[in-house]
Amino acid sequence: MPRRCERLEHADSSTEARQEYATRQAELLRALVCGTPLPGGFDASRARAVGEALVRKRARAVARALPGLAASLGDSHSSKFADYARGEPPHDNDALGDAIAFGSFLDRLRTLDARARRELLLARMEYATDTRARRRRTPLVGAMLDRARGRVLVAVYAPALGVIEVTLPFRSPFRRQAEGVKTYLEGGWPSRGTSETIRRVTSSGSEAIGASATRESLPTAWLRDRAATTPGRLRLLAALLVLVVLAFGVVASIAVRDRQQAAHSAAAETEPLLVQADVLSRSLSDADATATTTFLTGGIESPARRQRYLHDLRTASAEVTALAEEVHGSTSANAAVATIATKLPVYSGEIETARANNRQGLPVGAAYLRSASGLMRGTIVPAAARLYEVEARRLATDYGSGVSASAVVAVAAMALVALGLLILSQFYIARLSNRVLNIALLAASILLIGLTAWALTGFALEQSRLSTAQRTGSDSVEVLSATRILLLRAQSDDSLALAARGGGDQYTADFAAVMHALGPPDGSHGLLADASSLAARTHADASFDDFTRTLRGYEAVHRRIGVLEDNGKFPKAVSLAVGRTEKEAPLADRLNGDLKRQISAAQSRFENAATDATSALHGLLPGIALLTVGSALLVLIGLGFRIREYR
Amino acid sequence: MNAAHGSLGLGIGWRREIAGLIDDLAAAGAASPAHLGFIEIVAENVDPKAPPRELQRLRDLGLEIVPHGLSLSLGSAERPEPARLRRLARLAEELGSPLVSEHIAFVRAGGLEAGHLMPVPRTQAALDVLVANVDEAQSRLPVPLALEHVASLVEWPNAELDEVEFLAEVLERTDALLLLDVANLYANARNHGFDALAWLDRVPLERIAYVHVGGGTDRDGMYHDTHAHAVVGPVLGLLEELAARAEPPGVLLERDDRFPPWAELIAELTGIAAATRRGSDRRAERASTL
Amino acid sequence: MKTRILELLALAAVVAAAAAAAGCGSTSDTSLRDSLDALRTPAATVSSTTPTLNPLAGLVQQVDLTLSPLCVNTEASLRPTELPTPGRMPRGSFMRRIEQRGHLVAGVDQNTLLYGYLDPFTGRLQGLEIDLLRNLATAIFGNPNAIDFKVLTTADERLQDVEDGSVDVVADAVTINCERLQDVAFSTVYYDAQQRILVPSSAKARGVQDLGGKRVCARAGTTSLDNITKQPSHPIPFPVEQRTDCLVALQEGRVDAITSDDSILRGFQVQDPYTKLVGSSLEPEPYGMVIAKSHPDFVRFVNGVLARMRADGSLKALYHKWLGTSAPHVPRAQYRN
Repeated sequence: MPRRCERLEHADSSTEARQEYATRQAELLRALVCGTPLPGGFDASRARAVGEALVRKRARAVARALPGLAASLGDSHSSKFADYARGEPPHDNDALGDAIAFGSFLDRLRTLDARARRELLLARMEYATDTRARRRRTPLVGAMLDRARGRVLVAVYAPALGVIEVTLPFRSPFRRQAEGVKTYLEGGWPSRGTSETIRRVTSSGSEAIGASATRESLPTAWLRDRAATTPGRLRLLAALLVLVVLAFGVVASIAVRDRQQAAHSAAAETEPLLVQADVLSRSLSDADATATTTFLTGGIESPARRQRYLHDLRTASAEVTALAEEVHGSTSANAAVATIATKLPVYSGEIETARANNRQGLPVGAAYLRSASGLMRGTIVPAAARLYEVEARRLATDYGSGVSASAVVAVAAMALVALGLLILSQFYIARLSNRVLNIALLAASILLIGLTAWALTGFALEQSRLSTAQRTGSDSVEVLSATRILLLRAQSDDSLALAARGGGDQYTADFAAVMHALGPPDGSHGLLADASSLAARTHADASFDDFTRTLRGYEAVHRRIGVLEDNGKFPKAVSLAVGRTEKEAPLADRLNGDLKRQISAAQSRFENAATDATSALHGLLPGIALLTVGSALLVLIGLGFRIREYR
Repeated sequence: MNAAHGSLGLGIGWRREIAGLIDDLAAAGAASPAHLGFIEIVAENVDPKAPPRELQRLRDLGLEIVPHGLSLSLGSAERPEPARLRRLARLAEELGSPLVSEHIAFVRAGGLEAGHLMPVPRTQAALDVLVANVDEAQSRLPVPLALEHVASLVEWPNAELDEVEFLAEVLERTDALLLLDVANLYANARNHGFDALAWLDRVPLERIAYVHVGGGTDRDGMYHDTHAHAVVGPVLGLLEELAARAEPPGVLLERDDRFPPWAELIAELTGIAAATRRGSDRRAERASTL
Repeated sequence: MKTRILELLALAAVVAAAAAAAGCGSTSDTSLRDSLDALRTPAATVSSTTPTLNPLAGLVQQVDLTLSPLCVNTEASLRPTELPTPGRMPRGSFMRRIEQRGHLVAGVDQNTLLYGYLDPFTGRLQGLEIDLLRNLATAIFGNPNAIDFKVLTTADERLQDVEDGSVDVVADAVTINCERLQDVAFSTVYYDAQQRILVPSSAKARGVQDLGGKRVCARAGTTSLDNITKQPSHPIPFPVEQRTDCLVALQEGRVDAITSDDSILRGFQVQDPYTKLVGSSLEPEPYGMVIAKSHPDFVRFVNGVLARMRADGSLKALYHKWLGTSAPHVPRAQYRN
């Protein structure tokens, strides 16, 4: 790169004679090239002629190096080159480098047309000009935007291949709309031209402000231009308000949709699945209880009991299949379903073998019953309980989302922002014009307020109904189902203890543990305590009292049987339990029936409340869309009137 | 004709724009309207490591190639840069040139490039510096060096010698060859008002290696040696006068810009040849009458 | 301006409504947690019911009990005295206490076919040992039904319940051996059983020597399990809690063979004809009735009843009743003073 005129070095040479000579040469050159004063003794006009000749010669060389550039500049080439040459000393025999520098100089002033720019780009891509212009040895990619013709030129330089160009059009479908918006914000309407004069009439005088679109201004400069004039400010305000209102609409829609989805999921998906899981557990426990009781009564079981057992097995298999399809999310649920599906046939096989051996009076049947019952209580029922737990937790999650405060907070916050902005703009407009009322903006505010109120009311309703669904519905279902399953387990324990003829200590202990979990009859703690407080909530106290009475009766009979067992009077004990003088079995059946009724009552309460909850948000989504769009339009209309006054 | 240097014949400066014409003329050989014997290349435009193929072809066709340097700046106060000398030397070897040529001028000073050949002051001091530089250059070149005098519009004040004296001194002291440019002579004679024929009489004609002829134009009352216009009549006249005094070993047409149709260039070449022949004839005639 | 203020008020109302909406209607997890906790109540276990290999098996071997006077002749029991009349047991004797109670409490099994098992049709316990015990009751009360049977589930209970007095006597295929004699007393031998191997009829094994690496089922806490563990062919012992569980295991293919007393195995064969006894006796298993050491008078009484049964042939008749032609010989009684 040649030295610039401002940064010339002091001529330096080896001997004094040369030194003096060097200084004089340097002075002359500087005068000719940089325009410094001519040293004394030289003819000024000739020197000027030499200077001009130098520039002309340089210009000729440059024009030969980049002919496209020269052609596009046409006659102005020499004058422009003279401008350039004034600031750029000659290059050392590097016409191409000089030409590229000249082209870049013009490009910075944005006076080149597309053809010249293209030639310049290609030259710069092919040649490196850090020292004398020479071909690049590494690949390079460059691009050039041709806005006038709506295309972009992409060029790739590869050392062996030279420059490969690709022209791509970029006329985008939204460009016209974007240009229209830009035009509008600049002070015109899309159908008119982009450059107009705007007059502002104020009480202090009139100013004419010209606003014409420049081709390539920076965004902040553009914003500053707009904000400088009142109509520009109003336009910006309109844009901002519309944005905020639409954002409010979006946030509200998302919040409503989330709440709706949670309520719907709880009502239509998770809770029914919970009930199905409960049916599964109950069927399995009942099957076990029935099978073990059957064994007690001797070789021929009653047909009623047999049917009940088979019905339980069928129900259990059907529920497992149905749940397998619907619970494919969680791995623990899948594992539980797989366990039940594989082990249930083993269980029923062992029960049938027990039956067959029993019919022949073979004691190995009892061993099969022990094995089957162990499988059911140790593996299958716990798996069903795990499945139940998965669904119960999902229901709790749905409840959580359905009443989460974030939706309300988001809607309220956005409403505050949007309304606040609207109200502030109405104050601003009132100050600007002398009119107090801008009907359109007022209407927009009213719409927004109405919408917010609607949304918040909807949320409150949905929340409270969902909460009711839980408090009077699914809570009872959960607690009562657990109670039922535990009671069935106790019944099974009872039968197994009897069948063991005094050798079944672990069954007696398990019965005691179950009763302990259920809680004492006075309802001070345990599951029954929960059940009774839930019953109090739903005014089902009376039927729950019935239940507790039956339970106490059951426990009393159980104690009598226990006494008989301790005294070795097993036939009497069995008879009291399930035989001819049976007392315990009917009580157990009554307990089961009671619980079944209460559970279905709770279930229908849940369904009613939950469907009410989903319907609380009905129609909000389309309403939000309509009202926010309407609000935005009103904002545009309202501000539009004001803006038009400035024309 | 200086038999020591051989005869170069008619030549033209090789430019890409007329490379085709030169190739055609060279290929046609003696049958061409203008029989070329040599070409001159701008030394800075040819890479000694990779000279254009066209040059090799021209060599194969029997043309001599003379590298003509522009940026050695022998007239500078600084010594010539070894790198430039090496390049020039390498070029001469690569092209098998019989000689190289440069200018008595400076092109840079104080870190600034002139972009043009600037005249040196005609003082003893400058002469000493110039001679030292030329000696150094010659010591590093494998072939003889021919020096060209330049045309300039400005002149240094306080000149101690006139142009032809200065030139003769340099050539004498360095034992270099002369590249006589009749267009430069005409320009300086016109612009500085001296007698070109007297100049021709005093210059050491036996040192001529070859001759440059080029076109120019008048502008604002001064003659500019542009090499972008047709050769003017008086220049051809000077060529004839030169030929009448001594046989030029070679005459080369210089054309750098605004190339005309080839026919015109060929016409110019034939014109140059004709002028040279006319001069030679006059010399022969004079010799026979003496 | 008024409209502005109204708008501001409306804004404030919106905020208040939002706050209210956020507050009302909450959900709680308590019911969920309580019901899940209740469902997770763990299955109760009683420590003695877990089947384990007899922990004393190795220990006892280290103590050389053969020097104990009890082990000189394990089958020698106390010599019987004159049997009292039923209903008139000697004062101060253990039998008197039984008489005052009103019924005999005997520990039996209800799963061992032919010896002590529950008849599903009648719901009554039957078997050779049951009849034996009824004879004992008759000897005390003159009434074979004055007896309460307590079903024992694990092998250890057979000794523990006698030791702690919850039963008076146990007749449950209990083999008399030296280790047991340290803790309890035995009557004279009422049945000579042999430890044998039962395999499926399709099995190729011909004895314990062919069962190397195969699973062999035996009841935990019995001499059968100890013996199979000591076999040089190294079969893999598979303990179960109750005897008949072994037959279930064999039928379900979980074990390759069962080892037990041939008496018990015969009961299995009746329940599953697709089995066969293989190999010779692994060890003699003499059965004795288990009585607390603290009641030697009762031991003598029981031995007296047994002696009478041997003498009048009722023991042999019992054998024939339950075992038919495959009954072994009635064992002789051996006494020590």
